[in-house]
Amino acid sequence: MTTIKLPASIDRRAVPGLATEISDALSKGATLTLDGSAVQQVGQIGLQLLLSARKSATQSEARLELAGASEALRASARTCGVAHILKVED
Amino acid sequence: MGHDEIQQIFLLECDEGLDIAERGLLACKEGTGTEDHINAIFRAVHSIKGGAGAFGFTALQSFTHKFETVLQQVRDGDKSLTPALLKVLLKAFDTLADHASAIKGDGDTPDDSQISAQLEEIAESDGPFGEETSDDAAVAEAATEVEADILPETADAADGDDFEIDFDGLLAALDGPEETAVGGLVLHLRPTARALEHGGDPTLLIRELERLGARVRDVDVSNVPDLDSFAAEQSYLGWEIEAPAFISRESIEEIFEFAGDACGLTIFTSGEEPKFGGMNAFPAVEHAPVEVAPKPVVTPVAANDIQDAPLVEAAPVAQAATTTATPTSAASGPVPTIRVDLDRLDRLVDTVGELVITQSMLAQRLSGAGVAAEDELSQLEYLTRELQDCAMALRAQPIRSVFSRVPRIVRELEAETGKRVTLKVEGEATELDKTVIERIGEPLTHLIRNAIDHGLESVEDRLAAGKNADGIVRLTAEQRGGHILICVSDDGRGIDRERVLKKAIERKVISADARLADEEIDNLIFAPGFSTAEQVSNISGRGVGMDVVKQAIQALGGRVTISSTPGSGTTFSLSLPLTLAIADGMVVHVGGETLILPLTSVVESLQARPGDLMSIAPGRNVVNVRGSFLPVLPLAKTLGIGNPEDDNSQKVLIVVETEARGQIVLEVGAIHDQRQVVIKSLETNFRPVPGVAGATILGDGRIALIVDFEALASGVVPPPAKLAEAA
Repeated sequence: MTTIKLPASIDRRAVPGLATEISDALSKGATLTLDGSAVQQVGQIGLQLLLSARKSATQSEARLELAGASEALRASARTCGVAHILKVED
Repeated sequence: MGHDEIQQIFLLECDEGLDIAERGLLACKEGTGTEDHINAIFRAVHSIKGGAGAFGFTALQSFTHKFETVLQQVRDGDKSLTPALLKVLLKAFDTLADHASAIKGDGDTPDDSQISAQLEEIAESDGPFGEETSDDAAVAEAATEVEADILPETADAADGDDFEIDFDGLLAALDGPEETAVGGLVLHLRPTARALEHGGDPTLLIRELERLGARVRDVDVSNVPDLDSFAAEQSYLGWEIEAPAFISRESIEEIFEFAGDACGLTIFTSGEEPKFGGMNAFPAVEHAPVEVAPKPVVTPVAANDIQDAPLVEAAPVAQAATTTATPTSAASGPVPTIRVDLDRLDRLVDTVGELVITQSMLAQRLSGAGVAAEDELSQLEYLTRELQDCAMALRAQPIRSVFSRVPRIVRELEAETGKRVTLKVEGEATELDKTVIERIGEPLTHLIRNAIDHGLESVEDRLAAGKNADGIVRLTAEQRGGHILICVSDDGRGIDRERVLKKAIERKVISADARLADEEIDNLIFAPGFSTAEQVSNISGRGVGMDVVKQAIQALGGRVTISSTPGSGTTFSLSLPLTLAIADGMVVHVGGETLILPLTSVVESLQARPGDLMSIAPGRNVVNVRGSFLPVLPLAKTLGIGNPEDDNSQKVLIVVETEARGQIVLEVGAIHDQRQVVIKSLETNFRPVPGVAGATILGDGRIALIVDFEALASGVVPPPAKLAEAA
């Protein structure tokens, strides 16, 4: 099982590297856990990345979990109507 | 759009907000304030606070927060709008305006500690601030009615099947910038990649909508690619957001006002929105080509598809269909506007100027060649004039921006002089050229100061004269023909002509035995350094007199006149040209050259008869114009053109008004025409030439110089060689 710790801010600078890292991990077919406990700031770019990661996981039939989502991450997902997709509902 | 440009828009919006807030406060002061005014003031201040926060203007943000808190209490009926409170709010407004000026680099950040403390004290105190009057009670009642308007609607909405009472949202709405209850709205939001530039994040706007009480109903994730195709700078999401009835369209638009079109916002009345599935076909990637297809080419992918099932490939954006959704600014909305760089406008005006000249040249050339093309030429002339008018209109701005400074000046002067002033403003929508607008502020301010300081009597004197204690200062603007007439009038004591005359003689402005008409005496106050104030006050006697006002107006190609009635008041009328790029000119022939005399300063023309000119010294003539002897300047000789020795030609005398020497007479060969001329700057295209205000191109392609009367009258006569060179 691989775990990737999401950074405090999933912003434009962090996203390209994170996308590659997640993509590589998914390609190995393993179960991937994204640790969202440290996330303090996430906007549209970050949510898009997480949605894209979920889509890639589904396509490659890999297992993707978003664990320990911080309140900031949950609130942003909730506000933007994607909490149920990212499975970070309260 | 870059950060600086957005900030620039904020500063412009800030000015507009200040204007709205001030008008609202003044309406309250005049006793005509309604709950709409209170709401408008609150919204304006709230909006400025929002922008200030977004751009990191912390001092402005902090102050507007305190200001807003008190305004909110007034709006909610928690505080009565007593005269004492209104005074504090006006003071707070002035401080807010100073803050706004400071962030524009116009002045220092004001010390707002005192007024901030006062606002905080009012906000924290219970009960009314100052004495409550019946009017205040009415305002408080009106404010309460606003609340009442919101609550039943919300309750009605709560009766619906799927409406949950969102107390947070309700509170947010009461706290929010707008209460005008309208039908529920549905928003479709499809941010483009631009919305994500420069740290932009549309989810912040969704959060703001949520704070008002709106919520995301559906999210379109169909365009989100897998990680291999993922690009951080692209926008893949779309949202459908429902806004309950208590959220107005205006408050939604306010949230998106700085996001421009980048957020792809479309607002629908609830029930009239297209299926959100149709929205999946919106172009998601800004640079992708868009083709209109009758139906979406792929079945919209539900959000859950990402969650539970293997996803089909997202719809290729190039094949996406557009919708015909009504844009935000539908027919009932405001007229759409765009902001254009001034440089571009100026280039357009210049080009139109060239067209006017070319059209004139073409007409002359065809006429000279005997080509009959009258119909075409007159059509071309008509179209050219139309185009010229349109181009000039683009530079025109309402004079409101200048007039809006006046209420504050009046307030300050009321405090300084102890006089009571009612300001009446009319014609704020009158439009003037931008350059005129920029330069008219100073002289207008001086005239207002003069009207209050010198024109209006003290309260005691007014009462003694049987007048109302409140003096009236009227500021009006209107278009009259090709000019704009701005009038500043007061109902004060009128010009004390006896005192003016005495002072003028004392200061040797006129000789002791001069016999002057009333109008001429009034005009003496425009003489340089003239001041009748017994003590130079720090209000209007700032070392600059009314002469500066007159000079400033004349520099704009305008004229200023006075009309005064003892005991009833004085009116200063400023007549200004609509534009500085084109002027009315008198085309005259002088010594074989063609010159242009600006018509604004021409008083009259006379045919000189033998013996009319009288020599008072070698080379110095005067002419008797209805009993007044005016100095005559032979233009040919003065400017060193033509043959100055040729004195046999018939003379035409043109009386012109100058600042330096009053009326003078120019001697020219003949008057040829009167026409609009396109003014070309000599400074820009050649170099400054004393005695010449500019140049224009005549229909035959020759250049004609525009005469600068002031320079001639002041004795700044250019050496003939230089002028010949310029010509």
